Amino acid sequence: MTNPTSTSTGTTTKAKRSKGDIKPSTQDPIQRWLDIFMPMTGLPKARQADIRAELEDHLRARVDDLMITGLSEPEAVQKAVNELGETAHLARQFRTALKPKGRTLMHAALIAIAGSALTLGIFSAANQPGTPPARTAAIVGATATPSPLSGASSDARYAFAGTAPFEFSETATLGSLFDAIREATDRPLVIHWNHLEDIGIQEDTSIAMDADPVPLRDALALAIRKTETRDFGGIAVLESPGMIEISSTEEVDRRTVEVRTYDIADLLRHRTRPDAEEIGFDGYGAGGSFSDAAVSITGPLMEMVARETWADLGGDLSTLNLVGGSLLIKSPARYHAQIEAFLELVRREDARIMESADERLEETRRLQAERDERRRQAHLEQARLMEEQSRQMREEAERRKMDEIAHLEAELERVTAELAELNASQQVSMFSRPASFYSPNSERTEEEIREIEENAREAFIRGSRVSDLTVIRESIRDQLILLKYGVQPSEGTTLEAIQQQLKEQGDRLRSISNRVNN
Amino acid sequence: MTYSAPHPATPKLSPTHAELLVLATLAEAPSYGYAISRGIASKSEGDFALGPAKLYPLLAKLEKQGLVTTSWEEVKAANNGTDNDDESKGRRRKWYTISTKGAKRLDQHIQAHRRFTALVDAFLPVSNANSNNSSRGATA
Repeated sequence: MTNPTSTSTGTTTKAKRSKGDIKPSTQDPIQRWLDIFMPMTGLPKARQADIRAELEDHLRARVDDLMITGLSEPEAVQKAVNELGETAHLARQFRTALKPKGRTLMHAALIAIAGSALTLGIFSAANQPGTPPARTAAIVGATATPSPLSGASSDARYAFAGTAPFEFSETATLGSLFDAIREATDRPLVIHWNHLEDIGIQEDTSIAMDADPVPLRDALALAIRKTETRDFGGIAVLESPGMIEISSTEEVDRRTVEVRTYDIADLLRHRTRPDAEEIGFDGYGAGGSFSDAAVSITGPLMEMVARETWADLGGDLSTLNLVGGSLLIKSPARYHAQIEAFLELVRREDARIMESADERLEETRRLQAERDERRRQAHLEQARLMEEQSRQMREEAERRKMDEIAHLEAELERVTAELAELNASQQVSMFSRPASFYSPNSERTEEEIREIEENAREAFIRGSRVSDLTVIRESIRDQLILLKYGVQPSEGTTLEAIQQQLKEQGDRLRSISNRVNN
Repeated sequence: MTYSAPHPATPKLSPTHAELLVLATLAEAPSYGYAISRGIASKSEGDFALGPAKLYPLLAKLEKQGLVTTSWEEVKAANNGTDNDDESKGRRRKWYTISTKGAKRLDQHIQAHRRFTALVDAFLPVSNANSNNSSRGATA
């Protein structure tokens, strides 16, 4: 079986800090292995219990299967454990799986901004002297209750400890440091060793380091930094007018849990508008409901601020709920400033997105206006071309009409002339003989009879021709009236009558105009 | 079931594919860790070996991401011992069920996988692509 203590990461301090359920005297090899493995994960106890139960179930089921294949129980146990691989690697795998490096954030810029600002602006500023009041107000507080955390950050300066020098000798321990502080401060110093021991810190925990003597206040900061771990937290100092308490960050966090509301309705409105994705709010829930959109805020919030404390992520200190447009957050006091800062960063990012969206909208409008103008010009050009074409067609039609009128007038003249000629020849024919010549009782010679018959025949032909020409003339006149005046000629209407009517109409209009002008 | 090395020609199971296979397994029915590992090995005829060192951290990650929900079962010792998994000594068993979010993630994985496969197949000679699909279909 793999010996999990022989790992490259083992140190004296870490070995003393492993506070899992160690029962070295158990006879069950699987329990014995789990006893040693679980503390290596460095996870909270609640999480360790779950993983332990799951791995035990796996190992026992696997052993049962292996024994069916013929292995003895010790062989099966050995093989099942070996299949888990190197225990240190497995422990790292669990830590990595449960503490990712940061993902599923909606805006890369937000990650960069939030990460740097939170790291530099909040963690370091939380306890720096001269920190702007707005940043420290949430952390320091000014109430009768013990002020919130002023420890846990290794950059804190603990004025209460005084300036007497402290030497980090080889025998320097936390106990000796606290004793020195107790001597130097005028307030009672209460050290909660039980809570410190839960995170592997004892009175005799060494704080020896290669450092020159430093004032006690700085020595305390150095000792806190030296003993702090990412997995177990570290030492926290709680100052109040009546006493100074030193405990674990975990215990102090539990004591200083506060419930606050954060109005995020403005952020949610950005993400739930119908055009949210177009504008740039393309995270989970974009264009949807408040609760869906809230996930795109609360997810990164829980990833970046006090990750290990959220109940949704396996912790047991912090919870958040969306109520209407507000987040109701229960969390240790020291995290609320970070939460505020995070939401402020989100607001700044939202403002940048909105500004960018406004610029894009303006640009879109400008391009649209240009397109509209080009379209309008194209329409105008098209209308102009159509008008030109129409004008040409009208002129062509007018020209054809005038040609037709000229042709008809010429034809009318010719027909009228022919009619006149026929009428004239008829008159000559009719009056070439006296009327008695045509009397029915007159005696006629054959030649005279032939003449009469010839005359009658000619008269008939002439009469037919006159009749035809008369019809033709009337038809030509009707066509001319229609072409010239655009009216359908009624029976009896003549060209001359229409022309007379138009002249009379024109005279009346001129008379009226003269009266109006005078 | 044995955790033997996969066939040299079989590509290593990437984290993405491991997640795909686990979610696909849970989409068929809720299951627990050991059964999931056993099922994947069985269905892939031993080519895919998702051992406990990869499986359990993966399941923890899936749970943390809300892709699966979990419940605990008190496993009692079976009287006749016919089902080896139930020959327990009163231990707890963690059951996993795919969540709605997990089902959506599975759909995304499937679409990405099919798109990738289709793109790769476009580069392959028709006979090779068809023969690969046939052999898998015959053994499934």
